[in-house]
Amino acid sequence: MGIGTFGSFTQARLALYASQIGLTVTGNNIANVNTSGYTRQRLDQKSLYNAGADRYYSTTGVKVGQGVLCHGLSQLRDPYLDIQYRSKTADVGAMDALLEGLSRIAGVLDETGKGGEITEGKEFGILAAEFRKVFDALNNLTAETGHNEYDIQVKAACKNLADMMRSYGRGLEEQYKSTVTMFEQNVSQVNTILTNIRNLNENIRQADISGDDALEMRDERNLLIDQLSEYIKIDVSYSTEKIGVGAEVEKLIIKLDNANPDSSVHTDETVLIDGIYSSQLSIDAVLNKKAYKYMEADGTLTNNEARAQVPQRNPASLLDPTDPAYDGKNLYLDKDGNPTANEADAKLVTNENPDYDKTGANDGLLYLKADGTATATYAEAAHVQNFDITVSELKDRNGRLLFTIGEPTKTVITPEEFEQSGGKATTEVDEATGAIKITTYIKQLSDDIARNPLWKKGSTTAYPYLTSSGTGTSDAQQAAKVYHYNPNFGKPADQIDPNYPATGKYLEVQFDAAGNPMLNADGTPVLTGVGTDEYAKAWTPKVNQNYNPAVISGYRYVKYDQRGNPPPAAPADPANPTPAEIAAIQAYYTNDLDAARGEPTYIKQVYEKVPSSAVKLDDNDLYGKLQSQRELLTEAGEFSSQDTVANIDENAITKRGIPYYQKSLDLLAHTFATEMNKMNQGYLVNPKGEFIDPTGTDGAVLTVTNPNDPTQTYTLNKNDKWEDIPAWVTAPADPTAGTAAGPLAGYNSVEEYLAEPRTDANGDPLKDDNGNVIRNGAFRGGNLFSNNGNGNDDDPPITATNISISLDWAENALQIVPSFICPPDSSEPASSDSDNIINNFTSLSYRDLEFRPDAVQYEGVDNVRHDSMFVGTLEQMWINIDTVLGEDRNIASKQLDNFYASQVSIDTSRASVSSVDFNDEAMNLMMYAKSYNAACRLMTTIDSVLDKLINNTGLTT
Amino acid sequence: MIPRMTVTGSMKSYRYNLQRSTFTLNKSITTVMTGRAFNSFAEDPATAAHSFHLRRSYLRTSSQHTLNETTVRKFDVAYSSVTSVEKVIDTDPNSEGSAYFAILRAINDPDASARNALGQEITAHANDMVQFMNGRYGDNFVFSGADALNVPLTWVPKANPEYAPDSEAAFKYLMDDGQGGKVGTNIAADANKVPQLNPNYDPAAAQGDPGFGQYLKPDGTGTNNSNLAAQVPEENPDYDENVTKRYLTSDGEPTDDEFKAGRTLCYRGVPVDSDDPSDLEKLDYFSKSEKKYVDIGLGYDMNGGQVETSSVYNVALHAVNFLGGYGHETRSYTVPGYTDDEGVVHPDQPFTFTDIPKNIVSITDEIGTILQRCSPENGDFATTEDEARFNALVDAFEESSFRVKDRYTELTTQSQFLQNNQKQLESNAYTLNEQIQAIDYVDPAAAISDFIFAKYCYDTALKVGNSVLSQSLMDYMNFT
Repeated sequence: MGIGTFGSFTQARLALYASQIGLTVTGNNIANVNTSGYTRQRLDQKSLYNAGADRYYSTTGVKVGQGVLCHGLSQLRDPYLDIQYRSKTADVGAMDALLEGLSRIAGVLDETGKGGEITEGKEFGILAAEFRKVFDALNNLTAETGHNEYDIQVKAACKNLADMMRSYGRGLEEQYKSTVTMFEQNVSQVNTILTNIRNLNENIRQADISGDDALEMRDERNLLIDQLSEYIKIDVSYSTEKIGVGAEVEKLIIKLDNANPDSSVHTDETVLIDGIYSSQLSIDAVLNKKAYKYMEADGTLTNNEARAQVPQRNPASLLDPTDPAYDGKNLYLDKDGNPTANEADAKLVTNENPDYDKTGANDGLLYLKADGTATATYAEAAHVQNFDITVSELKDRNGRLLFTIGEPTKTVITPEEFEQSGGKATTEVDEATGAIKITTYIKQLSDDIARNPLWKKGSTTAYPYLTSSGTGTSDAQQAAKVYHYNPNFGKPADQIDPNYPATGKYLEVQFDAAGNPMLNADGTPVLTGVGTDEYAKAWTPKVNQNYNPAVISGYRYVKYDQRGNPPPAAPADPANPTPAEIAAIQAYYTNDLDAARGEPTYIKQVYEKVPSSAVKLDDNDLYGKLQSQRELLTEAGEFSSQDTVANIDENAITKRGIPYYQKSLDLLAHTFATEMNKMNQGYLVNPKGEFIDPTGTDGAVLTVTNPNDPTQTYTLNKNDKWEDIPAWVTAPADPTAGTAAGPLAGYNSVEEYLAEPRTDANGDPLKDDNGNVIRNGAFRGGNLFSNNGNGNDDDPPITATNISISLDWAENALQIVPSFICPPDSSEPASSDSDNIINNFTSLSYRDLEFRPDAVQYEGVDNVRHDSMFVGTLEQMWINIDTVLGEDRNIASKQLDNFYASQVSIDTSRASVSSVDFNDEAMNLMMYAKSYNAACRLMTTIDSVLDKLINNTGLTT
Repeated sequence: MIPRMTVTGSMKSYRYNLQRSTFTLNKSITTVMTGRAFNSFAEDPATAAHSFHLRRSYLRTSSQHTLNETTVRKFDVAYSSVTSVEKVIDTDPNSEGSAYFAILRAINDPDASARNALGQEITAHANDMVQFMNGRYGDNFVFSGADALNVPLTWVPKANPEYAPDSEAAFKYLMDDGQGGKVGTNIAADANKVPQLNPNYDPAAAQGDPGFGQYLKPDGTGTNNSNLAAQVPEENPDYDENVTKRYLTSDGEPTDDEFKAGRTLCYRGVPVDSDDPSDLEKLDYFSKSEKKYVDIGLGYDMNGGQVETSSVYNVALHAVNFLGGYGHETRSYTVPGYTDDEGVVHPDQPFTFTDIPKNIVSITDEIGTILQRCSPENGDFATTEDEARFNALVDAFEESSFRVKDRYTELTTQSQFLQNNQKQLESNAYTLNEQIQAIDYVDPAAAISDFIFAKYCYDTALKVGNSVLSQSLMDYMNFT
């Protein structure tokens, strides 16, 4: 279309406007150069051109554009770089948190460069040096055996070592606690970010609906998504959402990014944000079993009875397989109480929680605190040991749940069933899941239509009536209506025709029972003879003059049930068909589509409208800062139970968090204490290895006599293996042979026999002058270390956090047993004999020990590996702990360095696309300024030209 | 396509690189200040572990060095004691003041008075040797083996082997035990009363004169009527006074007087010259089996649950081993025959003694005792057997002294070994320390030049910072 005379003004005006806006956009970019997350904006312009044909065609044939249009602002972002950046941010977050945690552990355990504060260059470490001091003191004790002060030196060294281990143990506990706090704060931070993104989504949606680009809100949302990606590796996608009236708005979906290496797990794709719905993360709390009435089939506790419906088990299937009544095939009972193998047929019964407190005292107190007491508040509850995370249901700002409707399931039903349903949709709510089941019924017509090949398009011969558009119809109601006016209407009384009623505007027509007007054979109406003012009572259908039901080409279809039958012959006289011929043709042909179709199909469609539900995440579903902190709190490396490896994390053995280092330190402390305790206990022997009799004198040895043959004796000897002992010594009583039991019958080892207290005639234990129980062997020594300083117990096991020197040793009631060997004819070892010290205690400094992860038993952790995790001396084990930590830190540090460098590089790339550059903007400034000037010039020029045209054209001077 | 370098991008990139530069500078400052090549396991886990291994070895060597030093001192004391003993028993005939010198004089000097005096001197030498061997280092007796808290050698009065204070023969009287039998008693008042027997009882004379009767009346006259007899405690017919004497004199006479008793040298309570198999078993154990090992850096190792003996050092010194041994040996000596002044020919008298002690202190002590028994008038041996035994003991002394010298030499070698070991440990510690220094600490020149370079880089980075946001087109725009 050509441009009008004044259109040029519009052109100049649009140019001015565009330049003005361009300058504003450039100004906005410059203003936000330092705004974090700001994406540079660009004015989108296009040439205005009307492509329609001119009504008054221009003779020049030239079509000119009509100016410029600003149709929007766009942001310059590269989604691929966003994905890369966020993925790398998750890497950085993960490694940063891991390295930070490991560094805090190293703050406790790493002794490099420590211990030399007093003597420069003597950085022997702390615990490492304490170990040496113990062995140094023991070395001195070998030379000065029997002198109390040297025993005290060993004791002092051991006490320092124990104190230091406890201090390290406590240090790790503190790190654990602070990591828990940080983890909680970070979960809370993630929840805040999720909420903020949801709120922004809602605002952006509103803006979208009202046509606003909401670019600044998008920037803010992108910043939040970037932040979120540091905590959790996420998958961000955008889709559209129909909002009705044909409009669509953008919808943001954030999901977990498939971090779990196990491809069969799909909880790692859990949706966190779905448009205006968002979830929240929570750390699973320890549940109070007494507060839940029911249990779901998978053991989950619940108070929702509907969720606790489980198939009723056949009691016979629960019997011992050896029981004759055992039924291993029919595991269930059906609703009639009969055994069945089919779970689907089983009767559903409520599965009650056996731990539920039926007094109701625990009702509502759903959680347990760290001290084991019940509480109703989640915030007070203790976290489960694995710090499992649950993603909540997706809810909008008002707390409404997101429902999703899936594809319907379709089943074909019988016409009777369809009839029964009445074709009405029904809804049903599942109490267990809250899902709404919507059932609809559909009658689906067949596409199989038998057509009449002889049909002539446009033919109306088969229809008795005609519609107003000239097509035929058999339905009088559909036909064009012919109204019958009363000729007497409006006439003076003297002019009234007696053949017609005197009154009424119309002539009333007679209607049949079906409500159709009745016609005579010639097509005239059957009148009632009375007049009426109601036109609805005074019409007949327009009669088709060409109506001839015997014309075959007048029918579109062949009746479906006639398909395959031979068609009837055309009437002998088409103008005057016989009734029989008409009947035969009408029986075969039809214009009723339904009669020509195959049988309809009846379908039942069931839709499920499922509410969003909470998802308990698998152990490895997360990646990023949150998961690293979680792993710092949960991973125990080789100390993981096999159940954890099998059911929770197959890589648990190679992942090390604070628990690994705590348990390693425990194992070290436990091994040290246990070895020392073991070495310091035993039974006196003579140089031949024969056990000394505790009640004898002058080196009397422990000799037992055969009760069945007093001439046979045996002296218990440390060097004899159990199987080398004469059979009669351990033989049980044989009532058949009438022989009495051997003296060591019923024992499994000589040590067991030696440890047995001797009893008097009343069965009371015999005691020596100091009140100590006299055993079968001459026992010496006792525990040097205990699990607390107030006693001598080593059960519960000694760990790094409880290791103490025993009360007896502290109070000098016990000393290191220097030797168990008594010289000949003596019942006491020589005063300075140090056989036990040099052979055992000193060896501890050299001997390789096997450190097994299952050596220390922890409550609730079973089935831990027995394989050695380290073989070496105690001191080497200590260095090993530090080395493992050092290696872990080293790797994490290098990885962080790499990830961070990549992140910076990607961020720079992202900035190269999205951020503001002064040169660019300067160019834009100049460009828009020049175009503004030019537009102004254009307007002046046009004005001048038109002025000439309007004011000066035709004037002659 | 050249990437678009924007203001924000430049800033981010600069910030990152400046941060790295600061980190490197800070790290090199720490290195220079601490002088350490690494300050955490994470920086170099393998080297840090190796460093701790070396430090452990260093501390262990220091501990072994201390212990070795103590052992050297103990052996010094032992060496000094055995040297004193060696001087006492020096078999050089010219070693005046030694026991041997006195013995030689006793053999050759027939001076009667001299033998007694020499006997006393020799006995004193025996006492001296015991005192030397009972010396201490610190609070420990050096020669007590593994019983260092108890004195090793003691003189025990010679016990009467027949001493049996609870035996029947130990009681003078008899008394009813209340069960129809009799038990012994030394309390006259508790004893059964019996008529006093007349020592002058003569059955033949008693018929006429009751004064020769079987009993004595309280007035001391005899009687045949037991009823008239004085009542005296019933004597034990088996009474033997010897079983009540605890000791034996050096002559073998039973005595209750400890000071008159002969004496036996005991090692940790066991007589060193006993021939009792039980005593010998104990002495064998002490001498050969009882060890006291210390770890002085000989490569401590375990074998079958026991320490490998060659990897530790035995510091148990047993006095008996340094005094020529223990137990008896058999020696013969023939006293040569002679013709006396009256022309009576006295043939050679051969003697064989099966109980000559091996222990030099016992030998010395017995020589002293025999000499002291010699006649104060003419110096003759109390008996020919004494003379023979004296000479047998002198032979034994000489042989025993050689054994002592052998041990003395052995001890010298041991002391030497310990001193060499001391040097070896010092050298080890030095080497370890050098290794530690090499691993743990940086070369100052390298550390400082690294620091200078890091500082140079940092300074440059700062300077570059001024130009990161250099002039842009904005600065040249000029709208009129």
